[in-house]
Amino acid sequence: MENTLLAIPQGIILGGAYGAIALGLSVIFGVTRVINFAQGSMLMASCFLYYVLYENYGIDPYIGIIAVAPIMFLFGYAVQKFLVKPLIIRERASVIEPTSVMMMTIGFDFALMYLFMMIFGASYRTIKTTASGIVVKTADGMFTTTLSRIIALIAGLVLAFALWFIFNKTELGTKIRAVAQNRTAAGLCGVDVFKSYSIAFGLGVAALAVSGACLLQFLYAQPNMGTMFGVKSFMIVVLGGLGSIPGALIGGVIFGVVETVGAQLITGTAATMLSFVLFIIVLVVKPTGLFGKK
Amino acid sequence: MLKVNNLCAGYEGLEIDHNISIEVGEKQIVAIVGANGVGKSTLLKAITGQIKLMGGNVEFNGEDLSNLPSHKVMRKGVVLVPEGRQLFPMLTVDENLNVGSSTKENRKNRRENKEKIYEMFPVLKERSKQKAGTLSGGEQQMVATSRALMGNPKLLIMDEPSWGLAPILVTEMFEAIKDIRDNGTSILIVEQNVQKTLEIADKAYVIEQGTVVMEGKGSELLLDEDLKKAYLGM
Ligand SMILES: Nc1ncnc2c1ncn2[C@@H]1O[C@H](COP(=O)(O)OP(=O)(O)OP(=O)(O)O)[C@@H](O)[C@H]1O
Ligand SMILES: [Mg+2]
Repeated sequence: MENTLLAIPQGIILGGAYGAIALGLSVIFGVTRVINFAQGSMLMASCFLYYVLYENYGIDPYIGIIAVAPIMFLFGYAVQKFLVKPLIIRERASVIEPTSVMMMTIGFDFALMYLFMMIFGASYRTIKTTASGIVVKTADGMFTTTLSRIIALIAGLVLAFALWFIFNKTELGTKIRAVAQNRTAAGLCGVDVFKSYSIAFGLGVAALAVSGACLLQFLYAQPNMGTMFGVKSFMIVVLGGLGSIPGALIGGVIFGVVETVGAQLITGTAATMLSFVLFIIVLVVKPTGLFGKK
Repeated sequence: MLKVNNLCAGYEGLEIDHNISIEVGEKQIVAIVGANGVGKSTLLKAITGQIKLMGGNVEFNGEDLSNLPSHKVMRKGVVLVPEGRQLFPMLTVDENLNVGSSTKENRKNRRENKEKIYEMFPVLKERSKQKAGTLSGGEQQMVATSRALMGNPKLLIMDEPSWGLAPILVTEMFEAIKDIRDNGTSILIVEQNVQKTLEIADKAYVIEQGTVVMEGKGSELLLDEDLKKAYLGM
């Protein structure tokens, strides 16, 4: 029983990290209506960038964010500009969620994964950072975790707040929301619709890069790592409501708790299966997700 | 200032508008009238870069606007109030106006423009923090017109601004249109309310099945027997 209770904070912390990854997907979908299935590999790519910075220059991933987040922003910006946009234009006539874009992102996911496999091989790479070595305990010593995991949770919250702020409190955000609501009208108002798409895509991928810095502190970098995170973040976003920023975070926490608590009560495998069942139930019962509108 | 020459446009290979030529001069109100589905909105979509031209060209103050994307056409000073308002429903009235004036140039006199708009439509000031989607039809039309005015149009194009408005509001809307023209903005207007439109129009075009079948001064067309029969039920 005690172990079960202790699994809850563990699950929340894990869920915060999941949620942070899902945020990127949610932001991109919310604006462009594109589900970026390359999300997982983009996370993986940023983890490798941190790994390279750490191995070669001893730069802690937290510091590395200064370089990697802007790089990943530009990467996302370019992917939308040179790959997504032409497909949207071609399908523009009637569709709002072009299927060719979805298929392209799936192909892109694999291309990126095999590119990193080619360069780095399939081995698991971990780094020993300061934060991962610091153990945090409650006063009674019942609950222990590492500072890096706590930072991951906080980073998820900060990231969600930052994105919320950009979208709701800035001029750029107002324009991007206008594009999301009615892109024809936004164009007629003088807003460059595809530039807004690129910025949203860039922001989503940059958000991933921030999560990557937190994850590498206690996880590994490996070319396949994105697959699991990609699928999970997709489920989390559907659970929370596609396009909803708090939905992504809360969806992540629900997932994290189901997984860790489930692992205590039943087995890890059963818990993971349970989380997929939960996803299917939500999709059938409330297709807009817990926080989705319309 | 606006010259549309032999414009052809349509959807997915189906041509709707054939060889349409129209012209709008400085400080003019120019009207386009015609029955439902003859291709009036299609023409406006083609001018404002929402659909590709299938032929002809669009010129504005000597510059070629043909096939520019919507945001570039807008930045040249040609601003459309689209059919059915097309507001950003989840943004507040104030945010809708901000998006209408979001280009670098238009941000400069955003405040003065808002003051002018609140003078013209005082109710919008009260509603400024309300989500546009929750407004009444008449109020939404005011927001749509205001949002376009925030973009400092040289030419304001309006697609059925009186659609869905109560009679008293229709009269107000036509007064507002005259005011806008008197302040120096040219207007190209598509309207179902043929009587009122021709009364204020300097020039009008009648479109049938995608081609211009008649053109003339608004006051002259009002006296035309065929036109009276077809559009005014007289
Ligand atoms: N997006 C579209 N795709 C295909 N056909 C369209 C599309 N929009 C309009 N049409 C067709 O083009 C024709 C002209 O439509 P348009 O909207 O230009 O008419 P309109 O003159 O503005 O009519 P109304 O007075 O009813 O607004 C119609 O037959 C319509 O069905
Ligand atoms: Mg129309």
